[in-house]
Amino acid sequence: MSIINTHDLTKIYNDNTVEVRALNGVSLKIDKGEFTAIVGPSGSGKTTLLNIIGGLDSPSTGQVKIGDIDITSLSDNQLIDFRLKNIGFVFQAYNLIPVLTAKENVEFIMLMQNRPKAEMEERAQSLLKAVGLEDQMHKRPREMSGGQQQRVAVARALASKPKFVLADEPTANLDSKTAINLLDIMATLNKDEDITFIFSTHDQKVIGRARRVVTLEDGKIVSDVLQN
Amino acid sequence: MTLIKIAWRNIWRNTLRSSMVILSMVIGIAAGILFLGIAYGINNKRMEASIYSHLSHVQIHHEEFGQRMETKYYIENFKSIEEQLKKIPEVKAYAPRYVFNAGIRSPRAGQGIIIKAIDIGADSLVSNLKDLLVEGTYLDKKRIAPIIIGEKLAKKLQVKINKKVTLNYLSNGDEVANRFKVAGIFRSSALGMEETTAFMRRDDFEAQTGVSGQAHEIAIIATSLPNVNMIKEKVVAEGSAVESWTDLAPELKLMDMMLDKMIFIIMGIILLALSFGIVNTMLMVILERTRELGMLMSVGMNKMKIFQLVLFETVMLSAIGGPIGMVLSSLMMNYLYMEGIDLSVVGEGLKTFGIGSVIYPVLMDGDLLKIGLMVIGIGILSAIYPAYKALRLKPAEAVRAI
Repeated sequence: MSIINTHDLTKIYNDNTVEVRALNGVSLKIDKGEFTAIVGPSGSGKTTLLNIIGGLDSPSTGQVKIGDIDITSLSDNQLIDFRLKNIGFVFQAYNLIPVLTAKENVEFIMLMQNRPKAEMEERAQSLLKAVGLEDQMHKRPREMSGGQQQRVAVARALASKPKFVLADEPTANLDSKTAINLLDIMATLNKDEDITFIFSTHDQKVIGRARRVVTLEDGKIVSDVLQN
Repeated sequence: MTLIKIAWRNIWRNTLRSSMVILSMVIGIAAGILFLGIAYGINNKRMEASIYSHLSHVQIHHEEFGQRMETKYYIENFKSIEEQLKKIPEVKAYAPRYVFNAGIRSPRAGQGIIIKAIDIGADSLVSNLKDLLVEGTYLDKKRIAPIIIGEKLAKKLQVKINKKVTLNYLSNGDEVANRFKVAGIFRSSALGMEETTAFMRRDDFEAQTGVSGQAHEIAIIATSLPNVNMIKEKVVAEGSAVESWTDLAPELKLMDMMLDKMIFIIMGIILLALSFGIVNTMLMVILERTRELGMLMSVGMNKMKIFQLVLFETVMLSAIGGPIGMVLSSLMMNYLYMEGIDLSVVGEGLKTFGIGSVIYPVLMDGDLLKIGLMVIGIGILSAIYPAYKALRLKPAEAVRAI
């Protein structure tokens, strides 16, 4: 059963002089529990596609359905609420709140969901343990390495119990060993807890870990391959 | 609660910048308070100079006296009014005076002036004439009646201390002419007073005219300024005009109102400068944290909370800067109230306003709190635009900002 269903998505950026077609008729179905890489060269539309699926940007034409909800018809405020309840985000530059500790960063999302304090604490601890940071819980981002920060970001993305996690170039700022390590953690969470991950990348080692690889070029899907 | 925690920690991410905002608030409050204190200090001195040199707080005259200053218009029921004044607690002191037009002549010149015949004991409680003397002595009893004249009049008449002048005036229709000796020369900033007013003893006037136990004017000093109107209301004086200093010198009241407007304008400029500083700082904060704000929006923080987050930071900065500014300003004002501010460099200019070269800043009740709250309020208002800018960020772009 697909949890993400995009239909004929186009996105045109127009700066009044040159029209840039970032997405050109992208239709994509992603099922629950998938571990999918969106790949392609720079400017192929990977980030635009993730932004639109994540409700951070709107398509020029086309439709995005998350479950039964057409998110392209939601208002800004509805989208904010929708993202909070349904989508986990992992960013290329980690984007943790620098003044909060690792644990507080993970709890923060649950706080916005008004979860009970005890549940927040328990879940934050178990998630940080799952990403191998149980001994770094009380450190602030600047006291952690890039790889550790990105693992906190993964834990934070999962804290809200999202339907799926979108990760835009999550390994771009990491060295290859750390990048593989992070991917392994994500793959384990995907396998053990049936969490759906969709991530963009152009790193061949990372692509090799994905079970499905969707390749974009000039805003179009040029291949969609399942890997073993 | 977490928003407050984040806002608080955010403040200290850049200690120098936050300290500068706090310092600018402290300086804003101190500058506002100091300006207000000096302005009120100067105004009070100027008002006091006018009140104690010639106006007093309340004056009572015959109701016709104001129109036609003739000697026949003595205050009706003077004794009964005097009795009333003794019983009114808001009256600090009062002094009866004879006031009339006269011609003054020296061997070299002459002119028309107003004479105030005063009871030197009572009058010293309602007037500072003694302090205004720049030469000579007060009106001590002498064989030849003493007179005190203004410095400008002395120059015009070309007379000095102990020189003789002649006064001609009408009393009950009879012309009276008497010789006086210049006992003292005074200097006053009150408009025209130096040229047109002279003082003599009340008992000399009574001896020269045969009038006794009367008065053209009763000058009253209240226990405090707000009590002036109460005195006006309490005195029952049929056939008399009871007027406060604001009735007698509306220009003083007008200057008071002008001062209020000037204070409003200058405070506005101080607050505007402060608000630009805060807006600029908070815009820098937004610019620096664009990616962080983009992340917060992306993960589902609603706009109201983003707005609150930015606002909380300024509220906290104001909550620190405001009280510090108020406490420091209060200490500064206490010190300056005791020591005064020496403005002798502009002493001559101040003298023309009847003010000494040392100013003692004063504040009205609640001024400190008012200025403090205004600065805090401006701080918070100044954060609204940067907070609004934060709301306008597009999460997809903000999250990738460099």
